[in-house]
Amino acid sequence: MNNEPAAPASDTHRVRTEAAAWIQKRAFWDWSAEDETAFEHWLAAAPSHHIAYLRVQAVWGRTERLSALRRPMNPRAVAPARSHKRFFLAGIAVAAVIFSLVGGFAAFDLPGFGEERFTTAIGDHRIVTLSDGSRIELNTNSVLRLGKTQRQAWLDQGEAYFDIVHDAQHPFSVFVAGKRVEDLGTKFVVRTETGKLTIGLFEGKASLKASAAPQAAELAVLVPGDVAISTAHGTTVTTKTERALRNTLSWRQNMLIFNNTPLTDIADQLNRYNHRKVVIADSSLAQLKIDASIPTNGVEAFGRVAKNYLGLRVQTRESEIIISR
Amino acid sequence: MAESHHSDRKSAEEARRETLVPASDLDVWFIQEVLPLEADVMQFLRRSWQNASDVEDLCQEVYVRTYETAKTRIPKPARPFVFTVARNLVIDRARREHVVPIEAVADLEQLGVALDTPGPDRVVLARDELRLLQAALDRLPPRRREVVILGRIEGLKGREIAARLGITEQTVGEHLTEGIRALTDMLLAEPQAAEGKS
Repeated sequence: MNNEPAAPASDTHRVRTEAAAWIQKRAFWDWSAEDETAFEHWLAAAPSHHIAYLRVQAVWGRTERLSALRRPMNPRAVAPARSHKRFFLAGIAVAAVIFSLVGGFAAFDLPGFGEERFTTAIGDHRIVTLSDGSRIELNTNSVLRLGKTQRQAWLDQGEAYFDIVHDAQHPFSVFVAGKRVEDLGTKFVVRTETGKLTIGLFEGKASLKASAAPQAAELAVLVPGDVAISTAHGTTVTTKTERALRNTLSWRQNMLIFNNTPLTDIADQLNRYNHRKVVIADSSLAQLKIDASIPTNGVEAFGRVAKNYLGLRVQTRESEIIISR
Repeated sequence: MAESHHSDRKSAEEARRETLVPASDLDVWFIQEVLPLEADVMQFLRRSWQNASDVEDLCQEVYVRTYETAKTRIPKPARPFVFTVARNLVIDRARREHVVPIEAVADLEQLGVALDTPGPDRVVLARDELRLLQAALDRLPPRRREVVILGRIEGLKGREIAARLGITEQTVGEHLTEGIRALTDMLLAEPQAAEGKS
């Protein structure tokens, strides 16, 4: 990463320089999926790496404000900055309130017969606790049915996180998008969208089967860190670092975490959780990538960031906010 | 998987589920509560440890210990916790290297007051923050400063900076890396209290 002579530089000095090198590489040069993976591996290699990164990134983020010194070719860019911190803390406070409300469902008791159906509205989030201690967390706008034995579930719509207690006699199966995920004592997340099924595995082991049938062919065996994506064209499995994978679960705390993510993708994600939609009206903005932590209900906060930090034009209407240059 | 191991595993997992703080909250806490203490932590370490060249490493070690401990439970308030970690680290290290950290122990008593009071209010007005940032930028060597300005203020990409200044892309990368690293050290060394502390 850096060509410094290995003179008297301390280990800390070296690690902090590496963190700075990654940050400048990501900010100023081409950044490929391989770079992202290499970076994630560097981050995960030692706690001191993660800390050096947080330290340098936090200060580098502060220097964003220097862009206010830019010659006024874009007057909006010098709009008075709102406190980042205040926005962030407000988001966390909101998240905490919602989470404590949702927590009330944790004690939800299932009747011991028949099939149960659980739904969440847009922006909602719900925890279902099974009698054996297994937990299922339903994300926004989702539909889940649970079989009588509580060892079979159908995810008809949306996304759910499964934390399943292992029972060798009774494996747990999730039927989704014409396929079946059979777990062997695991934590995993399943998301179904039109034409796309995504499964991420956090702990244990799970098997992805080609259909609901008991004899169905095995498409993949997932181990921790694996993300399987099935589309009409087939199934691919990639491996993510623990941190990257865990960020995809931040909705459980009512937060969305993005790293170097195009604005259009951020808008798509926020739109899953909110009735008021974010519309990116300018196709050139698709390439604008940012790091962000946004509450799942943070459409307005996102609008403020776009306006105050990115210097974009934001029009707020009742059912949508429109972002353009 | 043998059934007999099952209950052990389950209870371990349950314990973890209850105690694990999500990484993002932990990171937010670390950035907002721990990093702003750096100027004070460094001052404490410099006074407690004879060899100045170790201080940066000690500070990083304080961070690592703090962060690792906070994984199970985020200590609130952060300030007394971080200083306890720093003190213990100095004492451990002194014991290992057979030196007596007299000042560290003496400092403890003085720090007693500081430990109980909340950290300085770090509300920095946007204008003050900009002034701090600009002052740090001005302390970079001229060429490095120019590269950082073109990148961070003018919004140029690395390749464009190299073309504009007629230097290699590798040199641009080195200036950016060292510039970012130096700005971090300078800005964290500033006591961030603009108000609220007498």
